[in-house]
Amino acid sequence: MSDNSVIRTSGLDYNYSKEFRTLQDINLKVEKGNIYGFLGPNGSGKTTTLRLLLGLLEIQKGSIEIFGQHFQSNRTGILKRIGSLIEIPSLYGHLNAKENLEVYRAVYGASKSRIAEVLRIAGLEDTGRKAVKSFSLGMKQRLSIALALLPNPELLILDEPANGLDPNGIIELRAMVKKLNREEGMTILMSSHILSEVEKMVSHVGIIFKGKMLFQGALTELHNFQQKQSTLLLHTSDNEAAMNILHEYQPERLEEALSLSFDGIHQVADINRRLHSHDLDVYMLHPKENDLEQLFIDLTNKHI
Amino acid sequence: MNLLISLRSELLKIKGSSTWILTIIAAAIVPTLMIMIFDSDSREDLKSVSADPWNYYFGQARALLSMVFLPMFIVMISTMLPQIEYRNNTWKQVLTSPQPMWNIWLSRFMVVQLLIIVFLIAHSLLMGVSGVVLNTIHPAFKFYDHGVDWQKYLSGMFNTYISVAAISAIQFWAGIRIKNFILPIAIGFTLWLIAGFLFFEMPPGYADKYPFAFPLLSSFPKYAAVVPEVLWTSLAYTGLFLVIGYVDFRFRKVKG
Repeated sequence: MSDNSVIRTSGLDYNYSKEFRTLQDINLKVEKGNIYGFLGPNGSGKTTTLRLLLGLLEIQKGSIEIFGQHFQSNRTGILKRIGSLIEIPSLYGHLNAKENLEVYRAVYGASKSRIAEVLRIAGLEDTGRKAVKSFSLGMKQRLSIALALLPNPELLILDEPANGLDPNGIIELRAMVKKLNREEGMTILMSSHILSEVEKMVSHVGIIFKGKMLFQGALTELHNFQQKQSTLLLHTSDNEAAMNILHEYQPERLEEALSLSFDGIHQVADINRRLHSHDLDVYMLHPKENDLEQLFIDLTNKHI
Repeated sequence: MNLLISLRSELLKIKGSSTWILTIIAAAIVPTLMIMIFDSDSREDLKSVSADPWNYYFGQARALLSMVFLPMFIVMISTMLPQIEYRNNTWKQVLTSPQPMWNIWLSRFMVVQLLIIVFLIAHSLLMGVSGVVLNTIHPAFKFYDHGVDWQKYLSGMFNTYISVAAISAIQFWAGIRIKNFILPIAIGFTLWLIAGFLFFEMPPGYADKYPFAFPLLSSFPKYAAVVPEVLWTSLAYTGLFLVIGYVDFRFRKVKG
């Protein structure tokens, strides 16, 4: 295992029932300093994976190493270095924000001043004695993030942290995640079912669908993959002839047009030249680069 | 991780919650009932009370407490405490905090024990108040002319506390194991009813093996001879159910 790995899972399988495999051969790799976006539609296995990482589910098959150690061999030592937010906020409704943090302050060995610090980071320093049960969902979510930050963790695991946040809250979350990563050196693993929500902040991406990892790598690799997946929409005076001329691009016939894959904008020029040289009139030449959202949909749809 | 840190964390959770109010209200039930019972039956009780008012009054109250109200309080409180986690969806936060599982388990059990002790202290204080109130209503009881046999009282309360320890361990496990609020209460209530049946309807030899009957045995003078054995059995059951419950808690496949 490389020294840089903060999380590494090998061949992780998990089934809630015999009939349905929730996770299949998950090999997650998050390195120190990454902001790792763990993406997938609802029900794809993201939360199950995160619950396994945090010991909330017993491992059935495969292994998990966090900070280079097997989780069960040093559970409390590992958890001391992790801040987490799993699914909906976990807060005591009858207590106020400070009291909620005080419950865990000594458990994590955090100082009293750290409470004011994380409340300020989460923008909740003015909530006073207001009980958490009367907080909005967004405030609860921010307090949960404050709780996750309480131990000043080396690894922050956030499961759908943008849930319940308004657009401003999401922008603030982005800024906060980047700042924590940049200034505190925190490694962050964050799940989401909306790619656009996280693509502006993550350095690495893992895409999971129906319990299988479809893609894992740096965001730049995903962008390269995205370019490879770009399609060109084409309509000419003779689409049948165009299909023969461009057969190496493996065109597909649509109703009024052709669709073909291209790898880089230079190929669009090549396609245009070829059609011209065969005296075909080009009525439409529309390079359609997949944005990441479309790619995400394509990747997941491909596996339905 | 220090167990005291886990205990502190558990105590902070019930700060300002209804748990404390419920404990005091529950502790006030027997003293209130005692005033009502002795007030309505004042003529019949006058002779027995006035001979040794405090000790007689406290003895009667202890029987009532051990038979009904203390077991019911334990059933309620053991269910209510884990409900704080279930209701707020906070189990996952507890279980992903860096506390050994045993500390999580034991510190919660210690909170249950603390509440039982607070209940018994509040009950004792309120019993004193109720005696004063009763004496004000019926000076013929002559409470002020007699003292309290503190040694007898304290040893009686100690026996009561130990006799319910096994019930507290069983109900504590049930309260944590079962998410549903009603079921642990129903289980506790049923087990308590069975205790009444074993104690009142069955020949001797059954009740002294059944944890929910221990407080009954410890509060009736005619069973004084078996009380030491019952108390040791109660402690043994407490240890057993605490360990079984922990193993179940620790190795549950889905946590939080």
